[in-house]
Amino acid sequence: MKLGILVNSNKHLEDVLGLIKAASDAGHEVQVFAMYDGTLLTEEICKQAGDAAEVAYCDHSAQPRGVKDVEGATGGSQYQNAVMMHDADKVVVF
Amino acid sequence: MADEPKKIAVIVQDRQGEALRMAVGLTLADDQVSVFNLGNPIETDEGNQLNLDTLEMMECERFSVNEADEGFEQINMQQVPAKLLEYDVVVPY
Amino acid sequence: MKILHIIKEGTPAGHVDTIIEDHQNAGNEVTVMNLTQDKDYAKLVELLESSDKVFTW
Repeated sequence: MKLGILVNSNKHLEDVLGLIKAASDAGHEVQVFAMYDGTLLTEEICKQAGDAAEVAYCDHSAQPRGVKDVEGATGGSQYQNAVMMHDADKVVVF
Repeated sequence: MADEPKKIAVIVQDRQGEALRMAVGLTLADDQVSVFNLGNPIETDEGNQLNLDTLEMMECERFSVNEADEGFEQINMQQVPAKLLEYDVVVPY
Repeated sequence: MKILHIIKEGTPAGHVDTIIEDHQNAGNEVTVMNLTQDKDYAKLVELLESSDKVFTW
């Protein structure tokens, strides 16, 4: 299963990380796209999830929140979100 | 990307501007995007209007439970649950 | 149809309950996973895999 996780708030870090780990442990491919306040979690997600998920974030949301050049993540646009939604078998929103 | 277009529903709840911006963005992968406003009437600011105009131009269906939402097809809450099952992905925002 | 509804911190009341109830009444196999009470993420992954439709509120 390809799992897409849209992170659009900064209130569910535990759930995001828990789901990434469980899905990865079960052999699933995980993609994360962070936007709005979710971009505030990008660094922590990358740090804790490591290779378990491919992470991208919306630059438009990130810049006014002081988030930039997050190691392990791709800064981009809603295009990355659109591709994730298109490719994923299932999508979860946090 | 998968070849077949997906049907994606964006549900507008409390963050109208971001929901509409995302809905426009989701059209970039050539999927069929629809918007459901289940919250308050859409505020008619410049940003929302631009996104609504873009959604119209992209022939995205727009449904609302509010009569005040111009350019939206009226839907009542009793119709929403079954309608949402027509979509591959549902993104409440 | 197998439908998974995911509830989390901050899920708005009102239309969510209406939608879940309607899906149940329409004869679907509905599972509600409330992440404010149940943090079994391995179970969540299994449910995601086996469900036809997923809603995160």
